[in-house]
Amino acid sequence: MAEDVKIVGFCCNWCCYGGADTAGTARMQYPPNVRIIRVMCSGRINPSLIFKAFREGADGVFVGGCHIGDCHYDAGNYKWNRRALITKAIIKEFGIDEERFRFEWISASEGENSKEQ
Amino acid sequence: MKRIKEKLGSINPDELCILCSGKNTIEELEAIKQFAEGYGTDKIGFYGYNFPNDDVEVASYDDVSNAKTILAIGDILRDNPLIGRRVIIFKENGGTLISVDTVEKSNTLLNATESVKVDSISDFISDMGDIKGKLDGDAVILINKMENKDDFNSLKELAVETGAKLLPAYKQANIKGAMGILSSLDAEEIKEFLSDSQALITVNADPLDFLSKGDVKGKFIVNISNFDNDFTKLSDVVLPGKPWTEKCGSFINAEGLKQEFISSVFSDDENLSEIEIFEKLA
Amino acid sequence: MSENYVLAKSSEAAITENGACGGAVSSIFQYLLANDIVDGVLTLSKGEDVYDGIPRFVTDPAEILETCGSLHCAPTMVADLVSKYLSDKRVAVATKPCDAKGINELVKRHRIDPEKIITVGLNCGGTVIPETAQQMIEKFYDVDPSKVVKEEIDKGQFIIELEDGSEKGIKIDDLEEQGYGRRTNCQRCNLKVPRNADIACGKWGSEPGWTFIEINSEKGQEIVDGAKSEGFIETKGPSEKAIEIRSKVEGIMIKMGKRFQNTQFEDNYLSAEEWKEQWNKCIKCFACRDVCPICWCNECELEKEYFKDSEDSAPDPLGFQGVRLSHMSFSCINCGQCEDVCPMEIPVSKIYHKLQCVYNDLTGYEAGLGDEKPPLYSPQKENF
Repeated sequence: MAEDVKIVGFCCNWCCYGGADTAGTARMQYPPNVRIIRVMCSGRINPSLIFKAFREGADGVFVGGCHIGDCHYDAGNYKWNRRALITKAIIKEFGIDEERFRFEWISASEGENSKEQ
Repeated sequence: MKRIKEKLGSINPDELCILCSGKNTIEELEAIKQFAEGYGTDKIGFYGYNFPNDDVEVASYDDVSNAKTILAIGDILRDNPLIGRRVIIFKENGGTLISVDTVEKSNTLLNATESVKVDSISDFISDMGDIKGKLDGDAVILINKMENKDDFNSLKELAVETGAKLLPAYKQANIKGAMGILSSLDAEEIKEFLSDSQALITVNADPLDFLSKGDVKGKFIVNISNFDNDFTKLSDVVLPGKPWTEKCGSFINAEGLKQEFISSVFSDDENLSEIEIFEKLA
Repeated sequence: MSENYVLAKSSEAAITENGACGGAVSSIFQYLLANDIVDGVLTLSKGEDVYDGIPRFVTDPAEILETCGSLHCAPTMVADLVSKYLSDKRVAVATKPCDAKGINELVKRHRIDPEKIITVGLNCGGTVIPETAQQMIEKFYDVDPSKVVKEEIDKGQFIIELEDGSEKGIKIDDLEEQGYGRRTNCQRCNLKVPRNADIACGKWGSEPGWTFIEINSEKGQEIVDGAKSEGFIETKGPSEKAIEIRSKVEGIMIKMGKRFQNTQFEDNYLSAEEWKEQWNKCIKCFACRDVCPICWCNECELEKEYFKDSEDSAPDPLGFQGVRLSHMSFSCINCGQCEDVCPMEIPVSKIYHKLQCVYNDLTGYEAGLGDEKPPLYSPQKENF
C-alpha cells in the first residue's frame, strides 16, 4: 500500500481496538497513514461519520466491529451491519469505489488479522 | 409613538432622513412618500444596490429560458434562484452560459460553459473583450451585482448595440416597484443625506449592509423592522411593523409584472403596520 | 389482499352528480362527520381552477359537497399535513397510495397516532404537474387550459371536459413520449390500489355511478357497514367479471410502472459524472428536506457545524444529499415532492427512490407498507 494513501479506521473498543492493541504489544507495525479512531461499539458508527471521513480526504475507510453474537452491548453490531449496507449503496451513487469502504468482524485476539485489515 | 413625534417636532423638517427599501410594498412606499411631502423633507429614498432608477425595457423570464447565450454577472443561480431556474432550463435547451464574477467560486461559475473571474465589474462592463462578440439578438444579459450606478448606461448602450436583452436581477422583491415611486440611492448619496440629518427613520432596511456604524452614529434612529441585528442594537426606537404574511399589498418583480398578495395569517396583535405608523406620525 | 369487495354509491343525488363515480367516498366522509367519529376530514378542494388544489380540513358535513371530484393536476402530499398540523385531532383523510405510504411511515415514527386516523384510499394512476398540464392542453388538445372544468385519467388516456360537456382524450403514453404527461415519480409508482389504507376506492371494475371499494382492515369494514346502516350509502356485491376487470387494469398499470422503473433506474439512469453535474447546481435551499413528509427531525444533522462548508458554491453532495439519503432513503415513499420543489431542477426523487429499491432488494423492506419497522430502527437480531 502506497504511503500517501490515507486510511481512517473506526475500531470498536472491545474487539478491534483490543486487536490493534495486541498487535501493538507484540510490536507489530501498522503504517502511519492509518488513523485509528476508537469507539465503544460499532453500533456507534453511522453513515454520516463515514461520509465525513471521505469528505475530509480519506482515501479509504474501515470499520471493525465484534463478531456477531459477541457484541459487548448485545446488539450494537447488528445495527451497524444494517447501516453498513446502506452506506455501501450510497457511496456507489456518488462515484466512490466500493473497495474504498470496508467493514469487518474481528475478535480481540486476532492481532494479526487486525493488522492485516 | 409619542417619543418619536416629540423628536420630529423638535427638529427642522429637512433634518429628517427616511430610508425605505425593496422590502416595502407599493402601497407602503406611496404612503411614506406622502408623509415625507407633508412633513417637509426630501431626504427620502431607498438603497438600490447601485442600480439606478430606470424603466428600460427588460427581458422577460421566458426570454431567459429561450435565449441561446446568457451573460450572467454575479451569482445568479444562488442569489436569484427564481431566475436561476430559468437559466437551468436555458442550459438544458443547449444554451451557452458565460459567468462573470469577482469571486473565485460561485454556483454560477461552477455551472457555466465559460467562467471568467474579474477584479472589477465596472471595468468589465466598460471593456468586455471578446465576450462582447458573443452577444446578439438571442442573448440575455443578467446582472445582480453593480459597483456604480453610472455603469448601467454602458450596459444599456451595449444591449442596444448588440441586440441583446437586459435583465437586472435585484436583491429585494420590490426594488423595481420602489424605483417607480422613490429615488434609488447609492451609499454616497445616503451618507450625504445623513450628514445633514438629525433623525433617521428606516423602513425594513439595514443601513449597515452598505454603511458603517460611524455613518449613522449620533442620529435619532427609528427602526421599523422585525429582524434583530446590529442595526437594531444601535437604534433608539424599534417598531416591528408587520411581516408580509399579515398584510396585503402589491409589488413589481424583476420582469415588470405587478403582483398582489393578501394576508394569509390573521393576527390580533396590536402592533401597527408600516402604513399605520406613518399615518399616526403625520 | 382481502377478498372483501363491495360496490357502493351515495344515497344523495347531489353527491352522485358531483362526486367521482358514485360519490361513495364523499358520503362516507359525511357519515364520519355526522356521527362524530372524526373531528374533521382532510380533503382536497378545487381552488380557482382544476390546476389549483387546496387542502381543506372540513368539519361540517354539508361542506363535503364542495370538495367532491378528483384533481389529477394538483398533486398534494397530505401525510405530513396530518403529522404537522392535525396530530391532536381525530381525522379522516382521502389518500392516494403514496399518501397512505407516507402516513404508514409516519405512524411507525410515532408522528401520527394510528388510533386517531382513518384513511380512505383512492386508486391512482398518476398525477400531473399543474404547469405541465396547462402546457400540454394548449399544445396537444388545442384548447385554452382555463376552459377545462374536469379532467380524468382513464383507460390510459388523459381526458379533459369542457363547460359544454364535450370531452377530448389523448393517450398518456403519447404525451409522455413527448416529455409531458405524469410526473416521473408517478410513472415509476408500483402501488395503484392503496391496500395500506383502511379502504381502497376507485372506478376500476365498477359500473357507471358506483364506486368499487376494497376493504382492507377491520376499521374499514366498520366504516362501510356503518355508512350503509345510517343510510349514507347503498351497496351491492360486484360481479366476478368486475373483479376480474379491476385486477386486470391494476396488473397492466403495475407492469407499466415496472417498465418505467427499469427505464429510469437502469437504461436512462444518470452516470456518476452526470449526477455530479446535477449536484453542482444545488444551492442548499433545503426545500427538498423541508417538503419531504418523512423528514421531521427538530434538529437536522445537515445543519450541524460539522457539515458546514464554505457556502460559496455547491455543497459536497456526500455531506449533504448523502447524509439525508442515509437517514431516510430506506423509507422513501416516492411521493416526488423533493423533485417538484427543487429550484434547480435536480431529479432528487430519482436517487432517493432508487435507493429504497436497492435497500428493498437487500433487506426485503418496502417503504409505506405493513407494520414492520424499517430495518434500521429494528431491535431484531437477524441472521446475516
